[in-house]
Formats: sequence, structure tokens, C-alpha cells
Amino acid sequence: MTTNGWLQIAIFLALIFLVTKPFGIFMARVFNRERTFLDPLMRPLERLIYRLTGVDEKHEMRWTEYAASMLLFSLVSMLLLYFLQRFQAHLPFNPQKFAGVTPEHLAFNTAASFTTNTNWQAYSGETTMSYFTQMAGLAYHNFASAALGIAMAIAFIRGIARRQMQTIGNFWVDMVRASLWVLLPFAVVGALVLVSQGVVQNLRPYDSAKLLESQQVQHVNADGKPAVDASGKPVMDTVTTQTIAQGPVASQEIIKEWGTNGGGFFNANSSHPFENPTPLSNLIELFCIFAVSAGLTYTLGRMTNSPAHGWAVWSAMAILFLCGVTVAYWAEARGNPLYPAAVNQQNTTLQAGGNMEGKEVRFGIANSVLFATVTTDASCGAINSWHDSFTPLGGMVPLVNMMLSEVIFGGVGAGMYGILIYVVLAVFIAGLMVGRTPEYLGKKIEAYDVKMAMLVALIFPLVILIFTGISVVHGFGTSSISNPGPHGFSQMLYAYVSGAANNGSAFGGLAASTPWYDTSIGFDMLLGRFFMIIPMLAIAGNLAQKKYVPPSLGTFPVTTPLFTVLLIGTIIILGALTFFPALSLGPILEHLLLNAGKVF
Amino acid sequence: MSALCWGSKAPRVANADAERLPNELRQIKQLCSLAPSMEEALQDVLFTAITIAFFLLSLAYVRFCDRVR
Repeated sequence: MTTNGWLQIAIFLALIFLVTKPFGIFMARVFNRERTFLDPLMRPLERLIYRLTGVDEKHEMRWTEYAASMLLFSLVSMLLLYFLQRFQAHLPFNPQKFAGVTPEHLAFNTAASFTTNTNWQAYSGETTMSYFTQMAGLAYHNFASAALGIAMAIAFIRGIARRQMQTIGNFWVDMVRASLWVLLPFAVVGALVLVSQGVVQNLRPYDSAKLLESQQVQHVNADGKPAVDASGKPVMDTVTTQTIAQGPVASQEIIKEWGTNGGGFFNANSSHPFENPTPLSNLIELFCIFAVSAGLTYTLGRMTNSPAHGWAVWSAMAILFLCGVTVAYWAEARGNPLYPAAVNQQNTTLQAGGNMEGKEVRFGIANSVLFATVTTDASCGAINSWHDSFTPLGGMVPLVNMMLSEVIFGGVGAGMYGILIYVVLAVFIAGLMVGRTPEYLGKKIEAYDVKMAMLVALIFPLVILIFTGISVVHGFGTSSISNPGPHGFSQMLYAYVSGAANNGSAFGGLAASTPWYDTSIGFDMLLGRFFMIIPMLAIAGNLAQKKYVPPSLGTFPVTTPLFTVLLIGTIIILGALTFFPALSLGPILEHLLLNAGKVF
Repeated sequence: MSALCWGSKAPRVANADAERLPNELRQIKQLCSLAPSMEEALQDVLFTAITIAFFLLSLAYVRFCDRVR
């Protein structure tokens, strides 16, 4: 670990701290329909959209109508993306003449993935998707799924803030305002900034460059396997040219981070120099991943008239973030204990040191672990290093971050409503400890709220552990892993955790484009998204109906450091301990075996 | 039938070849070329159906959460 590395991490966190209040105020004004600097530009556009779609912006929805609208929107969006992929051969902006996406289970998986803000990619974008699919299908979903997450968080905050009301807002209005005010303007400006750093943005066919020196590569058969001759020797091809993939990258790259989507234009994601070319672009991408979610903590405080509560939640998130990044940084900077002493793993002016396998030299250890921590704290899933190549404990950090339901700032909106579920449970536990009916910002937390919170808390591990369990005991699951032993188990576990948490990053050694993984991870993502949102909206609807109860001496304050500690404790106990047995079989066992000198 | 050949990469019977072949062979070859397309179309129907089924189940879950007290 270096001072320089820690300084970069500190600068990043300072930037997030600085943006929290102004952006939180901005979003509160947007969703309270107060005037903002973007109104002259966006308000006419908003009115036009309502006129064209027949939306009555004054109509208020009960939580059930809000949820049904959200589900209907997601169903239509998902089917559109599915058929867009299947028909892309007949659609414009396809200079590489890509066929429709096959197999069908891959198209299903991708449609589910982008609809749920997961962006799990069992394909390589540059060899599978036309520019039209990338723009009208994937980038569209990057906006829509992010707006949906923000809308859900705002609906929950309204549920807390409103008193004796049956409604929690209008889904269509929240979607439009999230898209036009929160996502679109920043995506446009951000894309231009990324272009200035060297991120490509064009609609040209791929270029072909003549190599300065020809290369020998093993021939690949039609079935995708390396070719060998009759004597078992590899059949080699001489390569003299290289295809340089390009396309409308910047416009997709910025919303990939700003909307915590994570799906890369290229297979290499943010480690590709056309997606993330400079240290500044790396910092911008990191900043974009946390900005909206951090701002939403202040929005929570402002809309509920308790800014201190927003900061208490922010503090819990920041502490958990620092814990994660510290462990990951230590583990990766320490390097591989099995290397002989002659191998220098120290940080010097000439090398980053530590475990550099799977990491970009230009990002080094600090920026790789920072990106890995941030992307899994949020539900982003973009990567600038190969998580599968992390040391066991370093790789466990992204896994644990996702297992905590990604509430450490979290996905746009998803992080906020996720941590509010933990807040409800923390307040309930505090109420049990002092023997009073728990209250949260003037609302009594009662049996129905806790039942719904437990539905949210239980569906997540249930989905992950059942699918992982099936994969572990069947050949169709184990045949996809690239490492036997605990790391292979970690690959399967990571896939389902990433899917259910709507993250989308992977331990890439898992060959996930099989009928089993495409279909099961597809359902894993859908259940992890919608079966958590629905009970969360039910709590919001129930809270909105309740009377305001003024704080009394027995009320547990939710603005103090004690609350922050209790919230962190609840997150760790409920989140991490649920998965401790699974972690013991995966990264923890792998770490112990590695230190004992056993590798697989 | 063209609607059933969405995105199919299955090779089609060339017209010149088809004219030279006996009827039975031509029919077999045509059936072989159509089989993957039919399978793809059926898979499209299947995945559309399970997507709709999932969201119907989600709507039922909304109702369940609203009713349970």
C-alpha cells in the first residue's frame, strides 16, 4: 500500500462528499417539483412527453398501481430488447453485418440483464451487438432501468415523508423526471468530457490495421476450440492484420457509470483503452458510479426534513466503503505468498508491486481495488481489472459488497431503498431492545412493515443459494468453471450473487453462456430486482398512510453516531452472516489453502 | 414461414441445386433447412412466454403483499 494510492482513494471520497449536498438538494427539488436551473430546457420536453403518452401528471398512485405500472413498463422494455437483439440483422446501423443474437437463451439473459440494471454480459459486445442494438437497446435500458431505480427510491422516501396519504406519487412522472433532469443532461455533458479524454464515439465500420510484425496464433475451429493436428501439435495461423473495434462508445460509457449499469461496449469493459483511456477518465467513471446514490442520501434527509438522518446514513455507507477498500487494497498489495522470494512484489518506481495479475498496468493496485470496491458497493458491475484474478481475500471484498445487497451507496435508487429496508430493521431491533414500539422519522414501524422488510431480506439469499446449490451438484453447473476446488465454487457463487444483486460483474473464469447459466441467471436477476422492489413499495405505501408521531423521550434518534453504528451492525449481521457458510467454502477456504501452499 | 426464420443463420437451399434434385431429396433438404428456424421460432415463443409469466407472477406478488396483514 502506498501513500499515493491512499491519497487517490481519499480524493475520490472527498469528491463524493462534496457532491452529496448539492446533488441531493437538486434531486429533492426535481421530485418535489420545485424550480431548478434545468426547467427552461426540460419542462417543455416533459409536457410534450405527457401530451404524447397521455399521462396525467397530477394523477397520484397507490403503491399497488405504482408497482403495476413499473412491472408493465419493465415487461414491455424487456420484450423490446429481446426482439431487437433477435432482429438486429434486419435493422440499421449494423456495419459489421452481425446476425441476430443467438442462442435465444443468451438474448433472454441479456434482455433480463439490462432490464434489471444488472448488465451481466454473457457475450462480447464488439462481436455480438450491432450499433443499433447497443444504442436503442442497451443504452436505452441504461437510462430506463436507472430511472426506474431512482423512481423507486423517491417513492419510498415519499412514503416516509407523507402523512395519512394513500398515494406515493406517479410512476410515469417520476420516470420522466429522473430521465430528463437527473440522467440525460449529465450523460450528455459527461459523454463529451469522456470524448475529450479519448473515448471513441462514431458509427464507422471496424478498422483493420496492418501489424508491424506478424503474429503466430493457434487456429480456432468452428466449435470454438483450439485446433490441433493428428499428432496433437497446435495448428498455427499467421496473423498480419488486427481488427480495431469501435462505435458509439462514449454515449454508452457515461450512462453505464452514471446509471450504475456497468455493461461495457467492449468485452474488456473499463479496462479497454477506448472506454477508459486516462487516469482522469478513470476518476470520472468512479465519481459517476457513486454520485447519484450519494446525493440521494441528502435527498432523503431533505424530503423528510431531517438532513442529519441523511448524513447518518451517508456515514454508515462511507465507513463500510472504507472497510472494503482497505481490505481489498491490503490483500492485493500484499501479492501472492506462493511466489518465490526471488520474485520482487514490492512497490517501486518501476512497478506497481503486489498482485498485478488481471490488472491494467496504467491503473495499478490502488485504482484497480478502488474500482472493484466502488463497482460492487454500487450495483454497477463495470470493471477495470479482472476480479477473478484477485487474491482470495481481495476477491472476497467485491463478493461481500454485493452480499450486503449493495447498500454502500449502492445502485442509483436501489442503494437507497435497499438501505432503507435495513434502516427499518435497525429501528425495529432498537425498539425491541428498549421495549417500545419502534418509530422511524415520526412513523410507527409495525408488524406489516417488518413482514415486508423480511420478505426483501429473505428473497435475496434464497435465490442466490438455491441456484448456486443446484449448480454445484450438477454437471451443467460445474462444467463451466475454470478452476476446481474453492475458487470454482466462488465463480458460481459470484455469478448468482452478482445477478441477484443486479451488479453484473463476474469472476470471468466461469463460462456462463450456457443454457443453464443464461436462463437461471436471467431469473436470478429478475427475482433479485422485482421481488425486492414490490415489498419495498408495500412498506412505502403503508408508511404513507400513517399518522405522524412526534418524537418522545423513548424515541430512538436516527441522526446520531449510535444509529450509524446500529445500522452498520444490522447490515453486517443480516447481510454478511447469511452468506458466511458460503464464503467459508469459497474465498476463505481458498485463502487458507493458498497460505498452506495448496493451489488448484 | 419467413416470420419463423427470425435471425436464422441456417443455410437455405439454393434454387439451382433444388431444381436438379429429385422431389423427395428436395423435400428432405428443405425440411432440414427449416428445422433450425422452426426451433429458433419456438424458442422465441418460449422465452416470450416465460417473460410474460414472470411478470404475471410479479403482479400476483403485488396482490399478495397488499393482502397479507
